[in-house]
Formats: sequence, structure tokens, C-alpha cells
Amino acid sequence: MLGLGELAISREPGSILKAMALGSCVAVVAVAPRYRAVGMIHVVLPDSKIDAEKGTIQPGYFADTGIPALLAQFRSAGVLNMRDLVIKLAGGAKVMAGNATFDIGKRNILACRKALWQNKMAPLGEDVGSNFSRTVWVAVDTGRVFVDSPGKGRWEL
Amino acid sequence: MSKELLFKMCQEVKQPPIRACELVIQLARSQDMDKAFSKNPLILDAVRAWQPWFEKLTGYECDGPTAWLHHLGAAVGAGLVASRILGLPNAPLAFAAGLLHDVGKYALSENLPKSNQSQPISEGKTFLDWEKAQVNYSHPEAGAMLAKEWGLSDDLVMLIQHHHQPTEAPLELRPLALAVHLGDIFAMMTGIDTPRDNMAYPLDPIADQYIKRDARWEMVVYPKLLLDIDSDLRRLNGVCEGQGGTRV
Repeated sequence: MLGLGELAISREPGSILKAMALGSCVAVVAVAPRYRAVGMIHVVLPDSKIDAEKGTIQPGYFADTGIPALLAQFRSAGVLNMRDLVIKLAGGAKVMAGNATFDIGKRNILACRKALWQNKMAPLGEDVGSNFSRTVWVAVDTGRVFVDSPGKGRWEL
Repeated sequence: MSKELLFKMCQEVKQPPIRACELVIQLARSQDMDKAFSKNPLILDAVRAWQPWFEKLTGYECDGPTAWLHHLGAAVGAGLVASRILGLPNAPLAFAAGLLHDVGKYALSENLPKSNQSQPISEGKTFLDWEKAQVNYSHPEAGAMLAKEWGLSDDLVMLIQHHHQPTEAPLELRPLALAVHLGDIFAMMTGIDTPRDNMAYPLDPIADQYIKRDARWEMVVYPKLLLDIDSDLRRLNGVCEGQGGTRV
């Protein structure tokens, strides 16, 4: 289970990485099928400039520090070619009837995409925006990514 | 459901300790928001006194620790919005109202149908509409009745009643009601929620009258506010760890 701002990769058979109740937060999910490895970041905010120290201590909190940190963890685990990674994004919702004043979810999504582009990558799948809560999980064994939402059920991303 | 039945359901809600009510009344009268939340003795006492009261909310598919975190998160958010964004002198009142904003859910919880036995919320409807369709009352209405029962101040009663619709609060309380409304919404947006109704409420349009969007708001003020809510919530929840506080 990944709390706010946490980041993890796993190659342990049978294990699952999960981010619960994403509102405006974004889960960045990375799967390396050839290596049977999965990773996830629970991004809370777009840009670490507001608190550089936090970005160093807990890089997963921000999109701009979290994505390079996740990629570094994959490299450490032996996934050297980033083309081996399949990236998916989920979350980034906004409050019902809300306007851009409080739409940090959209900024989180854009910041994640930007950080991926800077690493010459792009998400293969997205389930983002709108105004509902999402729980996202990925299983090491299958690499499949699922989204649960209260009252809406479950679907595969 | 008649008002009598709602009253009966409120009577069945576990009474909070008298000391917990006294502390929240004292906090609501206080104007001391100079210290950080986790260094404010009155806030610490109130938080410690209320944490054990929060139990599971079956009708909202929420366990006790999660229900507690949602209330604490909304309190921190309400306090920070009131003091830092709206510049209100009585921010402790917003904190106190945030801490108890959803207590009405404890009156309704057992009477709501389970997810697999109820219609999903229709497009364009809010969770308040859904609650009323099920039991004739919404949790803010039930919360106001409970707060009155417990002898809390009129201001606290009104803030609990209007935390989803601050526009309908008495004029002098509207900025504080907005602070509680936003504290609740910010907690939900960061996933500190009661799962069944997360994000199923609209933002009240009054927010636009008080908060103007500009580059500084977007790039600095708002993200920093969310970051500080999370940090203060972790610190305050930490003081409850010895008495069963939960991991954030």
C-alpha cells in the first residue's frame, strides 16, 4: 500500500502495489513485463519547487522528482532500457462543480506527462480527471493494472 | 423518516465524554492560532479527547481509524484556510467545526442501504440528495441535531449544518463555513475520506467570492496549503498514536 508521496517497485511474485482513494493525486504505474517488475508512485503535487527539501526526502510526493526517482529505482533493479517500461496514469480528479481554482488534479496529470516526456516516455494508458475517487493497483504476477471506484465498480486500465 | 425518528437515531449515537465537549467549546471560543496546531495545548487536548470516540461508519463503508483521519484532516484544513487564506481571527472555531463536521453520519449510518442493495447516485446528484432519498435527512442536518444535543455552541451547530453549503450559513458565519467546507473537500481530494461518499459533493460557488485565482495562488499558495495540511495532519495524528491513532 502506497501512502501519500510514497514510491515503490516490486519483483516479488504474488505481491501487489496499491494506491488508495486517489482524488486529485495521481498514481504513476510502471510495468516492465520482461523483468516481471512493477512500480508505482502516489504523486500528491506537481512541482517540488514549493518545498525542495521535501522533494529530496520524499521524491514521490511531487511529479517532477517522483518520476526520475522511479526510473532510477528500475535502473537499480536492472531495467536499464526505459523502452521496456509500460507507463499508465490514473487519478487527477477534480471536485464536483469545481473550477480551475482548485483543480490541482489537472496540474498533477500535466506535470506527470511533462516529467515522462523529459525522459522520452509517454503513458500508454490513462484513466484521469472527472470527479470521482479511484483506487489503483497492479500485480507483479500479471502486470495488469486495475481501477476501483466506489459505486462504479472495477475496470482494467 | 420523521423528525422524531431522526431524533431517536441521534439519541442512539454514543455520547462523547463531557470533557471532550467542553474542550471543543473552549477551542471554538479561543482566538489563539499563533502556534502551530501540534504545539497548541488546547488543540492537542481536544484531539486526544475526541480520537477514541470515532468508530466505524458501516453505512459509509468506513472503518473507525479512517473516519477519525477524515475528521482530523478536515479540521486541519479548515483551520489553515481560516487563518492563512481567509485571515479570520476565529480560526480555532473552524478547526473545532472541522473536527466534528461529519458526526451526523453516525446517526444515519446504520439506516443507509448497503451498496449492493441501493441504486447508485444519479448523474448530477450529490450524496446529500442520495441520503435524503434514503432517510429523508442529510448528515449535516443530523450533525446539527447531535451538536445541539451535546450542548455545543450555536456557532458550532451552524457550521456543522452548513459545511456542504456555506452559502446558506448566516452571513456572519459564511467565511468560517467556507473554511470548513474547503477543509472537508481538501481532505477528500487527498484521499483522506469516508470511502462511499468521497468526492460526491459539489464545491460551493461562494468559494469564488473569497478566493481569487492568480498565478501565485496556483503555483505557490494552493499547493503549499495542501502540503501543510498533510504535514500538520501527520503531526497531530502522531500525538494520538499512543491511544490508537492510525497510520496516515
